[in-house]
Amino acid sequence: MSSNQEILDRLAQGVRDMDEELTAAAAQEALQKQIGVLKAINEGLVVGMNEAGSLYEAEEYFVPELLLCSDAMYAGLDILTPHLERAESRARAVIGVIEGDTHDIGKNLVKLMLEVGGFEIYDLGRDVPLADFVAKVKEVKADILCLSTLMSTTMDGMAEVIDLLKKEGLREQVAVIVGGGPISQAFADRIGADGYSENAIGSVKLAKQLVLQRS
Amino acid sequence: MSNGVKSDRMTPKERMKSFAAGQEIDRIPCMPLIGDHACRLIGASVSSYSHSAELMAEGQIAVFRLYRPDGAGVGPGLFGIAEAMGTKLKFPEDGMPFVNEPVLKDWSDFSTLTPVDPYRDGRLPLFLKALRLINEQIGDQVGVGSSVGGPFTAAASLRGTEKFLKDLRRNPEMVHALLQLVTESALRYIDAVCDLGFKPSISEPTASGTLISATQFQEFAKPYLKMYADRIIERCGSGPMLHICGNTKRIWTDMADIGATILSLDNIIDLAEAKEAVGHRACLAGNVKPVETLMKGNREQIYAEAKECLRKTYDSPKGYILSSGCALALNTPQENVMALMDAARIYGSYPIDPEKLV
Repeated sequence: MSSNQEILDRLAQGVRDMDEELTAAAAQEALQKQIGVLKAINEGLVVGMNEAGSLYEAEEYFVPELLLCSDAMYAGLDILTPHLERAESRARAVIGVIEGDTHDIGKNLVKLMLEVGGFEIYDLGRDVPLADFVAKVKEVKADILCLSTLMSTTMDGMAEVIDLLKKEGLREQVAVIVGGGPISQAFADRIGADGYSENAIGSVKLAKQLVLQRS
Repeated sequence: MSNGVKSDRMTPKERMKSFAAGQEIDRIPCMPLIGDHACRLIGASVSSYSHSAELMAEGQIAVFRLYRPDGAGVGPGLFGIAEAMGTKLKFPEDGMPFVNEPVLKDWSDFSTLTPVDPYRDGRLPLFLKALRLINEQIGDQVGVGSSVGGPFTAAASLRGTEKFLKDLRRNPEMVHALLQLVTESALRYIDAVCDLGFKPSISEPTASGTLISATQFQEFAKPYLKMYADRIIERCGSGPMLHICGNTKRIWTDMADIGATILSLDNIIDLAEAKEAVGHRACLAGNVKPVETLMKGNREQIYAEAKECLRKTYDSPKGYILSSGCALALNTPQENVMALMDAARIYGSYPIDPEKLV
């Protein structure tokens, strides 16, 4: 008979070891033993994903491994989240890859982490026309806007989106965070973004911080 | 020539022929990765350019006449082979084409894929025609080549990059089968290019160290890249230029092992380190920043960065070619491309004075 901690450890292990079956089985067990869903996610799945993030930083895991870890995480989430009693109002995040760019693996990893972090996600996909970001922020009254790009040629689109938000009188209502290969803190500062995260794991922490600051 | 820049004393063709033979040349060669920027010189949209042999030829001829780089040509690039095998691309009116719908949604569809016929499939016939047209006009002055995507990039374009990367662990057998098939396609295109008397080069961004480990590169990219290079060596007498973007530090030795004659490297690596690691095995090319410097910078900044590259690499044992770290952005100002060429002429003319490079 597994203890609660053993189940949480297995959730983490399943994600870290890219093992969908193990994660799914542990998720079922967590439900059976009535370990709270949020606890199973935050002290199980997320711990595993954080470990995967560290392995990536250490250049032991690369993009293929992170993708497989996130699949394992989804396997756990698919079982757990139907049982999650959502807070009345979740913070809303709009996310997408800037127009002209179709690289979306990074964006998908951030999206996963934000979902897990309790955000309600509006994913606009890739090659998103700049005005569409603004329209969606307005439509759903987003708390966070996450802009992603891998290409240096499309970076300036991020500054334009911020400009458009200002023109629409929406700038104060939404925190803008930026990320991607060519992006840096310096760039984020220069264009007036509210934050920059170097990786997906960090993006949730940042997003939560920014939402907290605004409430 | 502007700013009192010395005129070239050799044609690009003469220069690169002597360069390849290890003979004396007048200056460091310069070959920025021009690509689709050529559209801008002839006022064509990227999508119309990409679908017309005449426009591609016109564009690349205009590029040569204006900048006089040490190489010319056109090719299926990253996605042309995969497209010819059934992957659907999207062609924005005025942006880079990209993979829209990979053809291999399920491995069960694998048996429906066949190697390409370069004279019939996709846009491959257009590139072959464009090469002939380019050669007719400027082939006496410059070597004409054709850039083709590498096996890993092509396979990822057939399967979808995200799925493909996961398949490296989930289904390595099928990954190898796909790489084998893609190689068969590429070899047919390579043969067609060589039959015309031109030399292919390879671009393999998806196999970058930024995405995969050196071990994964060695297992899944290297053996097939070597097959491309072996065929090019067999047909052309020497190995191809191999361009891989991103962080290639862990795979420089592998790139040289493949038989590439020129390693074209991105701006995020240090040419001095590359020279240390593999300068004795292959010519190095690179790595002026295409966006920050060439698109957004001015002549002074371009000269400064070119000087830095030259300072680090001019004496690399197997030679050095001044180039951009990656393909030029479409909207790179023409004066800036000119400035890079001028930098090679001013600072890279032999005998090179290292004092002038500080």
